[in-house]
Amino acid sequence: MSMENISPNTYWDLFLGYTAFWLLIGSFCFYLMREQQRLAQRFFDCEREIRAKDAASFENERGANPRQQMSTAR
Amino acid sequence: MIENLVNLPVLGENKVCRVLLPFAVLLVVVIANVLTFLVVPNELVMGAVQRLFYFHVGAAMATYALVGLLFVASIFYLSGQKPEWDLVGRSSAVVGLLFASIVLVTGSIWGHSAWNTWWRWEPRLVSFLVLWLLLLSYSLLRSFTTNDERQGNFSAVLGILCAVNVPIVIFSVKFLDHTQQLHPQVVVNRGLEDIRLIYTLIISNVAVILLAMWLLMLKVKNLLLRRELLQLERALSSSFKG
Repeated sequence: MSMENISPNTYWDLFLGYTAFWLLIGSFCFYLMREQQRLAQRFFDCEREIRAKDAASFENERGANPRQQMSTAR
Repeated sequence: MIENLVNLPVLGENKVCRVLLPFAVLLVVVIANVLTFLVVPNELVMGAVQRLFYFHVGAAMATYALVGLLFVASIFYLSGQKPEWDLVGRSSAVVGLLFASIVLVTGSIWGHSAWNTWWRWEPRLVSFLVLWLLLLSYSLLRSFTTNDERQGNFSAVLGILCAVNVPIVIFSVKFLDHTQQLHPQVVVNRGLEDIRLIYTLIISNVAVILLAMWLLMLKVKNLLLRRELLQLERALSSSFKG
């Protein structure tokens, strides 16, 4: 059967099915990428929080023990 | 092998996962598309829509492979309680749900053109819908429960149930006489006579399965990242308490 004898509906359904296939795969990829970005952002926030708390605790230690601070300065 | 892959540093640094697999996926997908749309001839009865067959069957094969992996991961998790297997099972269920959805959607569209109906309550379609529902319930169970160990055990049992359903889906076309159902038994009945149809089917199956494996890798990586992050947040809150 030549291409001309086939009902145009079959082309429309082929297009629909093929689009649905790649749309579902694409949406899932997009979801995975967003998830990865969100996790990376949380890692970054966590790291920043650790650095801030580390700095704060170091300052507290220096404030609580000035003699040690002087000895280290010497 | 999976145990080696399910290891954050390995997954991050492994060239196979990072470079080779995406490249192989892209290459095989392009070849499969060229074969499907430029090489294979139109099917005599159904016409152009029959080309959906290559992606539809590939997605079904990928679903079976992923449910097989879910089964292996569930058995290993229940026998050894190693948390990595739970992550593999969870990822394969999510990606399996995606490919099962593709099978239902493309099958329905193909059925609309070939059978003049979107859906028919016959054994193959119903058993596949049950598999889809089981995978959906697995994913919902993972998102609604919080207790890690109990969640893992329940999910592993559900994963085994999903796998038990696969042979039912495969042999469901034999439950009724072929005159009473519309779903074809193409491969069993040696319906593919042209050699071009056969190698296009094989290559498109490989393409879709590789695509599924790549998505599975990405999902496992995300779950590992999430687990590492939770551990870090827990350690952070306990070490700076008081």
